[in-house]
Amino acid sequence: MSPDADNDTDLMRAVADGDMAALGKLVRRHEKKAFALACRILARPDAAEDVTQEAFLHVYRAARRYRPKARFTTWLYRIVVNLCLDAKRRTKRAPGELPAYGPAAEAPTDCDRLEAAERTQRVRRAVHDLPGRQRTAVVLHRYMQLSHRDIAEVTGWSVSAVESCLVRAYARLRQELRDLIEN
Amino acid sequence: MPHVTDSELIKYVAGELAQPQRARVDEHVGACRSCRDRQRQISQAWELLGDWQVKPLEADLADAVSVAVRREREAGARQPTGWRRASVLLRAAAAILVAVGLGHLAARWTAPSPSGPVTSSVDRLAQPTDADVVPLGVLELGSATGWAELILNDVVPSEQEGSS
Repeated sequence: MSPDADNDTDLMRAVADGDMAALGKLVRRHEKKAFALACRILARPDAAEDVTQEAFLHVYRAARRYRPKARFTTWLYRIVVNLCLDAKRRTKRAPGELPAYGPAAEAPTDCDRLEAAERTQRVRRAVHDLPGRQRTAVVLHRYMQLSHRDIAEVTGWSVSAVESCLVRAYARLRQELRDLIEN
Repeated sequence: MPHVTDSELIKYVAGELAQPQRARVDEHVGACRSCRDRQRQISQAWELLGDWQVKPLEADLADAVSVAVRREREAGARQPTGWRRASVLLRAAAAILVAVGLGHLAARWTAPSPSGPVTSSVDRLAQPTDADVVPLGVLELGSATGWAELILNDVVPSEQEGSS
C-alpha cells in the first residue's frame, strides 16, 4: 500500500489491487459506525456483527467495480442497510422480543443508573417499534447524522419521501415518549 | 407569517438549516407559542434519543473479514477455470438437447394417428395390433424364433404326451 493511501477512495483502489492491509485499514476506520447502524436497525448485536462483516466482504468483492460517485460511507451504509433489510426478511421475529444489550443491560448500581437504564430501554423500544422505513430513516438521521439528501442516497428513496418518513417517525416517537419528554 | 413545518423544525434541531432559514425559524419561534412548543418537544425528543448508545464491537472485525476473504479466494481458486467451466456447460447443454430429442421421438411414437379414434397411449398399448400378433406357426420348435422355444418347451411336451 502506498504511504499516501489514507483516504477511502485510495484505500479502495488498493483493495481492488488485492491489498489486504488496505482492506484492514478500511474496516478499522468504519466498523464502529457500520456496526452501530446495523445494531440499531436490527436491534440484535449478534446479527449486526454478521451483517457488518458481510458488508465489508461486499466492499472487497465490489472493489474493482467501485466508482467514487458519492462518499464511501454513503455507499457502505447503503450496503449495510440493504443487508439489514435482507436479514430482517429472513428472520421475522415475534413483536416485543427485544434482546437486552448495551448500557441498558448492565446491572445498575444506584437509583440514577436504574432510571437512566430504564429511559434508554424506553428509547430503544420506541425506535424498535417504528415501522421499518421510519426506523431506518430515524437511525440514519439521528444516529448516523445524515442529512435528508444523504438518507435519500443511502436508501434510494426520494428526498420528499425521506422528509415525510422522518416527520411521521419523530411525531410517533414524541407520542411514545411523551411522559419522558414532559418531565 | 406562516408557521414553521415539522420538517423544518426537525432540520432546525438537527442543525441542517442554512443560516438564513435558521434565522427565520428563530424569529418565528420567538413570536409563535405553538411553534415554540413543537420546537421544544422535537428538541427534547432529539436529546432523549441520544441516550441510546450502542456497545462497541468486541470481536476484531478486520481479522474476521481478512479470514473470510482468504477463504473466499481459496474457494475461488478451487473452482474450475473459464475453459473448464465452458466445457462442462457445453456437455450439460448437449445432454439436455439429446434428452429433448429423445422425448420428442417418444412423443411421436406414442401420439395417436390423426385419422383414427382418439385413444390414449395406454389403451393403444393394451390393444394388440396386427404387428403384435405372432402366428403360432412361427413359434414351432427349431424355428428361427429360438427365444420362444424355451417357453414352448414347458407347454409343448404335455401336448406331445397327449397326442402319443
